[in-house]
Amino acid sequence: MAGCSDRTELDDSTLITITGMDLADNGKLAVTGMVLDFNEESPSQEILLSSTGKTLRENRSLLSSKIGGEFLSGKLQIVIVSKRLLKAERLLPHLDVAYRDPKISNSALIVACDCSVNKLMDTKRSSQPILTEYIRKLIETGHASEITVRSTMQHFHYMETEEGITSSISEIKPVGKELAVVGTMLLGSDGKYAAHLSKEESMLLLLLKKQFTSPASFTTSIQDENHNKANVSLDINKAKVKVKTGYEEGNFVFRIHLPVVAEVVELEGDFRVGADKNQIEALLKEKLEEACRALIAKLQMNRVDPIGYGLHARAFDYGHWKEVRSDWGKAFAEADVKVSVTVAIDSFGVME
Amino acid sequence: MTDQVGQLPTGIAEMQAALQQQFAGVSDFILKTARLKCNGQPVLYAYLGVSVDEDKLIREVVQPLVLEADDMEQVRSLLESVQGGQLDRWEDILRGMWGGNALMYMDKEPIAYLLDTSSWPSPQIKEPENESSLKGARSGFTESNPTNLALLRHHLPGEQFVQKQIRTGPGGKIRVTMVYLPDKATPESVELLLDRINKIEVPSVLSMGELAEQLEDNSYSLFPQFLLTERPDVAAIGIAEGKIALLMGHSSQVLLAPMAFLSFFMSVDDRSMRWPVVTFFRLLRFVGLLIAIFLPSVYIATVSFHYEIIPIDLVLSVGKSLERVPVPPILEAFFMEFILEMLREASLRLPPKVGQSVGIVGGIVIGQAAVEAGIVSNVMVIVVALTAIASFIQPNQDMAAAVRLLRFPFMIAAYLMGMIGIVIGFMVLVCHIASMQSLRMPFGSPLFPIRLGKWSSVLARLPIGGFRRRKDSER
Repeated sequence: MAGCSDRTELDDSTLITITGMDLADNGKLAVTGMVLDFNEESPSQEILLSSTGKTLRENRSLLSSKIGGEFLSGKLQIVIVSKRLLKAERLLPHLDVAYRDPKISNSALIVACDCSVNKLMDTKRSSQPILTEYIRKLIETGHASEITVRSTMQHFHYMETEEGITSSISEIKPVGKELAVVGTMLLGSDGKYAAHLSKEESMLLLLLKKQFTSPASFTTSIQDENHNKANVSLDINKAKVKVKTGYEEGNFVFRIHLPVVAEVVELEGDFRVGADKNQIEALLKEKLEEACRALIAKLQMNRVDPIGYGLHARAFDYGHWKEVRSDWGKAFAEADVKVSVTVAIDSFGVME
Repeated sequence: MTDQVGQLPTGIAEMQAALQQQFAGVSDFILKTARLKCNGQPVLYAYLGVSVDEDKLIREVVQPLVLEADDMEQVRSLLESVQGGQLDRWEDILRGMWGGNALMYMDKEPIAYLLDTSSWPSPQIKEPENESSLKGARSGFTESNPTNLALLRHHLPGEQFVQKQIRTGPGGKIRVTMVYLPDKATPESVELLLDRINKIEVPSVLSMGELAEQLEDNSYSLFPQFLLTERPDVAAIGIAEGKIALLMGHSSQVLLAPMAFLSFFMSVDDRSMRWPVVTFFRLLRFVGLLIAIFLPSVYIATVSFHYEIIPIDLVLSVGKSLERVPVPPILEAFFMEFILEMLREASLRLPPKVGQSVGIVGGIVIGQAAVEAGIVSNVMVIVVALTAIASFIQPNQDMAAAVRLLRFPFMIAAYLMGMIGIVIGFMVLVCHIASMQSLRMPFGSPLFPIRLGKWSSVLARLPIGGFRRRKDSER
């Protein structure tokens, strides 16, 4: 309960906005923190602090010893984790303190990076807003344009503790002087790094997860009548995902049906828009199915299920689910997953 | 003088001596004698010059008596036609003369005649300055009771209202006129108000506000329980709705009772403007009420306890702005609020031409210099300015003053306990309003006790329903 003793004047406190976690060379946890700088005279608006210790909490004490003011995590926006740490250790136990302390914001985004965290946070950027805002906007807009997932701390906890789903977090990387979203990182059932999805694959993942915000764009190439390659871009406006769950010959069976309503926004090649509509739809269906199948195959190969078919398995066939619940990733890898797509084009744009 | 309390002296010489002794120190006391035409009997008339229409007295009374009346019958009937009363008690005579009547006394008569010839300076009807409105009436109450009553009748044509003259206070020096519609006002309220007026024990009441304090239910509350208005249209609307109006001869304000909390947030313009506009303005006033009470305290609670609720973009600029300020936000807020209240009070006291310079000094000193000197933060200036604007949009000055004062306890509560303190304060406030009464009618009505059916008409203004469809024959 708030009381006189709880008072923390804003200008006397040090607000940490980004926590970066990396594996130090000695096997300890290297933590980089970005705190807001309220000093009006200083040119930068943020201060970068770093320390190395056993746990996040210990590092917090180390960080706070480097700067005056009360150290507060209530406005934590982003948690950046390096691929190196994710490959070596499970992330969830490291974050325990953040879940246990109610004052730490659970709406912070979890982001993976394919480089040293310290290097990423220390990147001298050409004029940009404060790093916190920059990364957050990067992820939010990346998620809105379907090139990565968006996982908050709270959602990450769900994905890690839920048996029927494995975690997926957004991934960024410094590119030159800027940062860029490069796709999605998948963690396995053991909570460690399992696979990387490109931006295109991330779009399909979001589509299958029913997390997409329309329009989702999809670009592929089809062959026209003269067997010339023609590039085509779709804006997927509506899509449903229907999953039928079954069990055959010791394996789970998932029949995924994906009716898609799309708008053609770019169409090269020699097509007559009106007459060839069915033909184009059929060609696109094939391409989409192919892409989905490739994605599922990749997931199965890496024994991860970021879409959450385990939830379907548990809901529809609890008996068999019980047998495999301890290692759903493996069971999903052996499952028979078939994807069928129907494409309905509702518009070819304003030009005939 | 003490022996003169009871019976009148008999004989014109004794009367003259007694009066001259009584009004020894009064410079405008005039005493004259004359003889009646009919029988040459001496008469004495006396009055206080400034409060008597001498012209009328001479023309209507003295001249006919001295020059025209042929016998005593005519004299009596003439005196009776202009009299304010026949009196045989000395103290009544004195009160009458101080009240503007002339005294006429005939030799050997046991009684004296009070002649109603009073003439007080009657002020012009002016536009009410402190309660301006866009579309309301352009005339305001004056400091003359007959004018005020006439204004009321003018605004309520054809209504037969009860108009009671009440004398109260020790010695009956307080004169109040009570006006209401007998078929609309609740008899209990009328009775209660009469009872309270009769129980007034202070010897004199100068202003309506003073009278209201004598009559209200809860004299410890911050909130006004009666509406004081200078506008005849507001008073007329109130009377038509069943409220009781109190008028005092020398006050340009009229008291309306009983009142409810929410009716203080209505303006007379609400009736003459389009209903969607009025609804919007009314909601604006309620939002303004919340801002005026809570904004500084919510700001203090936020920067002292709940920094989490500030968006990340804002937290940086607020933090930077606070960093320069050496004092905690509560002191900053008190400092600014005090200066603002001082400015407001100063501009009230100064003549209008000088008053403008107060605004300039205040604007520059507070708005810029204090921020640049690092005494207060930018955000606090915005908060205080917003609060001030929000309290200025309230249509009723008494309520606006209460609201302005209310925010100080809320700021302290916010500094001590953050949002929880504000919530506790809010609960106390709601309990207080819910428990208040105005003439034993619930002050919080219709919010508490809950009368859902009336909410829409109080919080918003809906169009006047039931447009009568004209019959074809009437077209």
